[in-house]
Amino acid sequence: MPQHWEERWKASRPIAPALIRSFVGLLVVGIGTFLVGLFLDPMRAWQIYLVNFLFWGALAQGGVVFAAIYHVVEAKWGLPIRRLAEGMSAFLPVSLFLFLPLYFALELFFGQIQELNPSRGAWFDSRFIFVRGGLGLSSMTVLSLLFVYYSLRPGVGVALERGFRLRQGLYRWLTAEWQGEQIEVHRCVRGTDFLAAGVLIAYPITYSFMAFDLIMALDPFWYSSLFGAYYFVSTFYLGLAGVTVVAVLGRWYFDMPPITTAHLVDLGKLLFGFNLLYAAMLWSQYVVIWYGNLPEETHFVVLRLWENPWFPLSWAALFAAIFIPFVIFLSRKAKETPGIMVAVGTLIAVGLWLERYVLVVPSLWHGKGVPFGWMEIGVTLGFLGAAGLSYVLFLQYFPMLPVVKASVDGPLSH
Amino acid sequence: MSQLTYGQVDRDILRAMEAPGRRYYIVFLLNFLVLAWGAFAWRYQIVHGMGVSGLMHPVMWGVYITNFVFWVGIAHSGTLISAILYLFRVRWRASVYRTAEAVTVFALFTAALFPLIHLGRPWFFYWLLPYRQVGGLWVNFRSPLVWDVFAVMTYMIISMLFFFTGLVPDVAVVRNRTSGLRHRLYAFLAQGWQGTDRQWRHYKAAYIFLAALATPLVISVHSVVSWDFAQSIVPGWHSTIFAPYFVAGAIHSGLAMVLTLLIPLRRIFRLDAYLTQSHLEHLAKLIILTGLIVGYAYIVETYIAWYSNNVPEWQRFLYQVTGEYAIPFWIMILFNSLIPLLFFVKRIRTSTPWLFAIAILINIGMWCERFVIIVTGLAHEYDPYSWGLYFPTWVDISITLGSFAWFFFWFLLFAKFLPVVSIVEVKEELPPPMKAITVEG
Amino acid sequence: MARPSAGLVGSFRHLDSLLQAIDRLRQAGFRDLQALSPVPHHAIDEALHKPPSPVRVFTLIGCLLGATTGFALTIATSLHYPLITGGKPIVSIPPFLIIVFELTILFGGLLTLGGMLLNARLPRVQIVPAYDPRFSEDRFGLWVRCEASDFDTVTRLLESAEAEEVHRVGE
Repeated sequence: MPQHWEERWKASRPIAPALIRSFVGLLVVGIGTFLVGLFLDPMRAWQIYLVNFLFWGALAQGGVVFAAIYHVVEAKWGLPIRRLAEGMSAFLPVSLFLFLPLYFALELFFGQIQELNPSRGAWFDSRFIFVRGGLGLSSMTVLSLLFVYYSLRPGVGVALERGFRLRQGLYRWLTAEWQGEQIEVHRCVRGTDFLAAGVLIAYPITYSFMAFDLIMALDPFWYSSLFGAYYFVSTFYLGLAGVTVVAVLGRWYFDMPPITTAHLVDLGKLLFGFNLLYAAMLWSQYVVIWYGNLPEETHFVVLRLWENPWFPLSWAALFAAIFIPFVIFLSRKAKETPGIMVAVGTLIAVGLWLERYVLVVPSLWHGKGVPFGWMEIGVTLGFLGAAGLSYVLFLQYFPMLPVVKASVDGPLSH
Repeated sequence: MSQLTYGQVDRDILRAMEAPGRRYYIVFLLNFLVLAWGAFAWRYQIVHGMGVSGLMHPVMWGVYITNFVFWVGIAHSGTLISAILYLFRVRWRASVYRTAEAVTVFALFTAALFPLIHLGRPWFFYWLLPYRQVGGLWVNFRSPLVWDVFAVMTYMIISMLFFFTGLVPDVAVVRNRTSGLRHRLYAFLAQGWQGTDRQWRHYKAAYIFLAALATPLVISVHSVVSWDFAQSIVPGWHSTIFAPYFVAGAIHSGLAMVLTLLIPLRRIFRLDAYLTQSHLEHLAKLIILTGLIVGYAYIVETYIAWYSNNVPEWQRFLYQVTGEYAIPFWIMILFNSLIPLLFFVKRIRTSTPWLFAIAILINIGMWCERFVIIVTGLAHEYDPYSWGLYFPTWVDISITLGSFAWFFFWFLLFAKFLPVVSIVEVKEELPPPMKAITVEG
Repeated sequence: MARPSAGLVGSFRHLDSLLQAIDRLRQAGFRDLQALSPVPHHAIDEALHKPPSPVRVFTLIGCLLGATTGFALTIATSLHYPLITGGKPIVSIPPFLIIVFELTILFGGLLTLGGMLLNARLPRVQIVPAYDPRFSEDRFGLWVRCEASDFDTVTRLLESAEAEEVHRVGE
């Protein structure tokens, strides 16, 4: 492990300031658009805010869950990818902060539903939704950040021990009470074991209730018991697509040789598997609702899949997230080609963004046509800016390759 | 396991196939008696009609359908271990998968009997198959029960294919060491296997594609079984979560069954070097996962029953928790989702008696789960006028016991006639013999 | 050029000796080699420079065939005797897709098996004379088909790679 150390640091080349500046620019554009939108049409502004909050937070969380699963199953096939996935956690605190403003929107979202279906009672009081959502998200964020912290700590500490001079303040703070490499590696592996399990137990619960409270409940009558599980599978699928995209971009940008074609093929196979699982989760709901043919269940599906103006969007989401990737993944050549993998990963992400859009907006929007214009684009770009910014800052400040398990796992190769 | 050599592997695994001792015959005979008793009960039911079972309006699906779902479920873990873990390149599966696959095949033999037993007139079973009947009528492809026929038959064919394909190179080893009638049997099963590079290359390719096909298949099979219930609008049955919930439950029960069988097998055949404590521990960890999923499904089902504000749905839930069938309900909660959490404690998941005991409890719990879903759903539908109860009679119970004996009958034969641990895959996990000694790690 | 019917079989205790023998023979121009081994190993395939197995094509064809059969069977039989059940349309695509799925897997699996048997020339009644039971246990074999005039060269090459024994098979 030690002799690889310097090599690994060299792999991380500084992030171009232009990239950082453009993310900041997008963020400013997003904030501006959102504030203007609030004055012009609060419903439109808030609903697209919710869509993006759900999407970008899920992307970040999905990446961390991937790293946690990788850790728990003691996988050895893709060590260099792990840190790239962990980096996605950088957006989680930002996402938690972005949850706070939603407090002002919940009355707008749920007030009318309370009138339509009063039987839901205090459970759907908007303050209660806010509190339980906040608790869930905070615990998820804390667990995820601690997990990443324990995974980073040995690498950072070893860097200091070997006389690494940059970012001393941050690193000293992160490695407070450092007890030497031998003890720390052991301690941190145990810490990550424990926290990874914590993340994996908290994740399905939190994300199920996010789905029930922030998506399913937007429709006053619809319910589907699988919806929570469907949503956390979708979120994980999104995280995996994100990891694939950053793995290829990382390989190109940082010229990282450790990310090999074999890694891409493995990621492709995993994505293929989750593509099928995601489709199965959708299908399991669809076929049961179709066959039972109960109006309280079918209206939600019919509105989105077969009625104007939403059906083109829903089918576009299905094609982008399921059908097209499925066909592409059948080919082994495609999984070996970085360019194709980036394109498929992005396509899946776009499809899942659309999925969240058609899950949320048709329940809330009662105006004419599809609300999609400068306001939606602006807010989305703002979120992209925030997520991109937090991710590149992480990459700039922390080592690119995990050390925690390197000593246990041996060489980086496949 | 690293000290083993190829020759040692052959000797150890083939030792299990030597002529059995007296104990084996006694167990076989006792099991056979139970089987015969079950067969007698079935004959009795055929002669006297379905009235001798406890089935009565409104509960027309009872223990037979419970057993069907239970045994199809048991089959699932075999495919999980042999196909899904294979695709994920999980190394520890090598020593376990043969037994798990045998469990799959025999559990399907058992499961497939129950629709026939439930038919009442089993000699008309072929009405289920797709062929042109009188007047040009075909089976109703819109019926979930016909989906079942397709799903279970496909599953049976593919898992037997997978089982026998995996056996071929192993059986070739046995073929070379036997003579006479046994030699001819194994020579037939080995199909002229020689282990040339050409054979291996196509064999490995076929094996991986069969695994890739079996993986979505296994998920579809218990989904289809769950849709026998979920496609209806019976309260407590019509629920979108049923498919993944049944699949997880199936694997949960199957893993418990594999543990139940591996623990004695390992001891009787002295296979400790192959089926180590860590293999059992890995299975226990998988059980934690499936147990958590099942527990999640119990909670979400309850939550949505309340959330939906659907009166019959919520009433049925209350009935399930407090009514005549409350005891199996609480057994299912306790045995399936709470007790498996004990496996979080390392001392418990590494102790063979604990593993064995908990595995048995999970088997009981999962059987109760199917019973609770099926019977309480039908006993307590929308209209209070047509509520009713079901209790199994001696016929139902005897046939159920007989089905266990039927399963063990096949398993006992398997344990003596075929290698219970895959010779080839265990050898693949060993470092190949090298002239140049390479230092590992 | 007719394929020589005779040949030599070398047996090896170690995998790397086998690989060495393959390399040396190939360099000396002997390309008609067949390895026999108790376990598959990708190094053997690499050393022999064999193309990937075409079984995947069989799988794909089987899957497509199964899907087509599924659609044809369900739709045609329903139209042939149109009988409404459960208030569902005569051609109900969602339930039919389940039959389509199962038949896709079934045909895919059967053709995979067929593809393997065809390509691996199984089942066979006659075991090739080069086979030795030990090649299923703990020895690796290499079967070299060559003209009788080359026997000496091949024997020397096999023995230089530490073959335990070399013997003749075939006419």
